[in-house]
Amino acid sequence: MHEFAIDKLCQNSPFRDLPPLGKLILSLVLITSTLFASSPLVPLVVFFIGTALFFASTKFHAPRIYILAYLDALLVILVGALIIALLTPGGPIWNGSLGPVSLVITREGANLSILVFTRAVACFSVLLFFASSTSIPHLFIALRQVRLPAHLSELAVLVYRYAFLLLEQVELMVTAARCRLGFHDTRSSLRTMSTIAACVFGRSMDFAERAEYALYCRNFQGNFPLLNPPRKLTIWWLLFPTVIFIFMLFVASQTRVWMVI
Amino acid sequence: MPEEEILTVKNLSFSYDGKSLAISNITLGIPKGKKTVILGPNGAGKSTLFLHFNGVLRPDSGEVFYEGKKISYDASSLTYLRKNVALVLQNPDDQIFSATVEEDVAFGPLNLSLPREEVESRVEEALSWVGMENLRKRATQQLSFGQRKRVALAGALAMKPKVLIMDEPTAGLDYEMVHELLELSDELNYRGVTVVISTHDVETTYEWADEVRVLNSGNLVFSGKPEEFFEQGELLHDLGLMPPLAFQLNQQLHWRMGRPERPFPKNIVELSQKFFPVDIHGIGRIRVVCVDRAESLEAEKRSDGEPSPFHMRSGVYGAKARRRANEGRVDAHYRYHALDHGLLLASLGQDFVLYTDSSLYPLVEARVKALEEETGLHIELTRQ
Repeated sequence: MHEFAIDKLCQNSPFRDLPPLGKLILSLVLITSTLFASSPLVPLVVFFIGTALFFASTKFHAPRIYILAYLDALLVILVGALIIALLTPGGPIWNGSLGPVSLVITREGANLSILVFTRAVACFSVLLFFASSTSIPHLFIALRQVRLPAHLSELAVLVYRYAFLLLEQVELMVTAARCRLGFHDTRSSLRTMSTIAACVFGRSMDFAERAEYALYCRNFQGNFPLLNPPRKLTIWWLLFPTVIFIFMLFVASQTRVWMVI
Repeated sequence: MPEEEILTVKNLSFSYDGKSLAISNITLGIPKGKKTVILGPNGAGKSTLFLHFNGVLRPDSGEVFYEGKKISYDASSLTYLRKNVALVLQNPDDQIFSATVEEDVAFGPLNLSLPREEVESRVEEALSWVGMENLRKRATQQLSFGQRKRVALAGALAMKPKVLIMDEPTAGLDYEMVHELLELSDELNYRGVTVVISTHDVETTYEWADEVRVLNSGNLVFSGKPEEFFEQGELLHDLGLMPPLAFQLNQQLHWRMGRPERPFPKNIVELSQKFFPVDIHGIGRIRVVCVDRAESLEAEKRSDGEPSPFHMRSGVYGAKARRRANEGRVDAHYRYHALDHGLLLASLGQDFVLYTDSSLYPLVEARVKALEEETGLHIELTRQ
């Protein structure tokens, strides 16, 4: 299943044991630096950094679901960029028509759409790196360092764990329903899916009750202790992204007037 | 002299909804250091009883005792109780919370606020008991059902409990894993842990248990030795149970041939000896090789040369020996039921090599002695 593939990727990433907060800060810095750029150069640099980190994180074995997600996002971004190119006023560089609708792409629109496209693609590659190297439980536990209430982080860890179990249940129920012709037409598919959704809700209540018993059986004292907590944020993980951020700002300021068209 | 009970319930009643009783006024004890089966159909109240043993549920009426002391439900008493009485739930997914195997096994010891070194050592030991040491960094959602069962058991073992309670431990497991689990239970029991399991399986109950408590619709209907229970034909009929095959065959032997019913044969070796007795002299021997003693393994190598002519007549017994066999460090044919196979082959005049941990040697010796006492079959046991 795809959700397991994603989780497996995090667990096997060579960057898994780096401080999750450090990775989060680095990712946020890279993403934010693209917003300060008015030319596509900085987003392109960020894109290459993000992509390189992503491939290193997956050891060049990215699962198909990642590639599909990437292509999916690329399609949405492309459509958005095209709309921006068509709607932004300025000096026309291309005229056309789509039936009764006349289409004009302006220089300003084209530049803006290229900028938006490169920003979005760059940010997505950075997000892919982060998602492939940091598991949700690690992230939430690390967030305790920045005073996230322990209850919230533990709740998130439990939700994450039980989400997989519920997904397994859904998969089983869908298979069982399919065996009994539950998806033979649109109407029955809708009815089956709604029944499954209601059933999963009931199961989740059942899970919660049994999980409570199990927690008490194992001497739960009100918090989740960890044998190997994720590494804590160090000063280097603040300095390193800061240097990158300053460098990106410098590049952005030097290429302010650098346009593709 | 009555047996010492480690867990006792007196006049226990409990209802989940305040109307129908899940457990109805039962009084029973779990003998210390024994292997006890709680037998009963679904809905008999087995899991509810276990949750009372662990202090998770409080009785509506009645009392629960641990080592003769009534359980008081304050935080420190419950911590003490749960440290000593570990419960493994039927569905491992109910009790695996953590992201990775080692984190989950460490969950209980960390809750006891033990030093990190102690927790590390317990995690390692528990994972090695269940043969999961190679998967300690694995994410829990990436495990198979059998592996999850092992992790759940390791989580309980890491508490180093005096009583290990397992709710339907064999449900959903393949034959090998069932056997491994029961053998592990034997080993733990031999090391002093009181083991309690619930099951519907009469064969397991008859062969494995020292004691049986039978529940039906929340009521205790029998308490005693397994063979005594299976002698009660009317009760079995009412419960919709069939006696185990070995028990039935022995009964037929008694009725048809007039042979004495006792001692009751509980496994294939005892059954074979009762049906087809062999001459008690001049039979094969079992050579025990201790896998934890390097010189013992060396001696085995020297005597056998390579390849081992004993391969088809060798087996591993116990978690450590099985691990060595899985790692390819011990060349053994039988990975499961090795002791039974060894005894069977020895009774047919063949020698057998049994690889085991030296601390389990007395257990092997006790099995051989018990067989001799029950059947008169003398099997020579040598240790290397």
